[in-house]
Amino acid sequence: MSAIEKVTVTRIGADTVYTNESGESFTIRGRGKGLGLEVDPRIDLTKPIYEQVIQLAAKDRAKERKQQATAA
Amino acid sequence: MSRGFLLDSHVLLWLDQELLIYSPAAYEIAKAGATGRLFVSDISICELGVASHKKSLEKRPDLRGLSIDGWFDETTNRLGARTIRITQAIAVEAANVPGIYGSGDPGDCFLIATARLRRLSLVTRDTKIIALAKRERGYLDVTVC
Repeated sequence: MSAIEKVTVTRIGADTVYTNESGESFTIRGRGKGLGLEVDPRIDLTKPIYEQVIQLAAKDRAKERKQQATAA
Repeated sequence: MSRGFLLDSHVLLWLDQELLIYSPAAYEIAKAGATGRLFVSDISICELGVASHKKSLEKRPDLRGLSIDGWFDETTNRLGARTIRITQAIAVEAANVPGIYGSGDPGDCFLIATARLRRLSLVTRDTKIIALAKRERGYLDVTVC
């Protein structure tokens, strides 16, 4: 398992740069698609992503249902 | 410190699609790519290639219109990943995996066997593989993404 706790994620052009707490950076080269544009601001990138995505989707569905019920 | 990281097939696809993964794992992947310690297996070509023939268009991986080998070469080169060939030793080890793993999924078995023989940490979000690593301490090192 990874021993690294906190990583900062930044976009530079098409690439994604990951920086650890000591300031050491490494880059994953991208195709200029995806990450920078698609990140939901409610998602904390330093925590497991998919659990958050699932929880947020459930929250959004619940909110939508509530709005529909109110409208009806 | 791990001798390196082996990407599960879905992680390779997610990295190409620039989908979100757990940032500490992404850091390790980026670092491994820069230091020659990032690996992929030939079995991922087979797994994703087979998936690209699924009847449902929605279930097919997005290979950007490329052939599976063209996509694999372009993606692994961009990530700085090196390919591990399937050897007889890996095939023999893969044949032993179901006894411990409890599943005969060929892709999983080859990836687990490759990670074990090459002493690599398998980068995955596969809950069954993560559960195996937790259940059988010392059998397999995983990096959850």
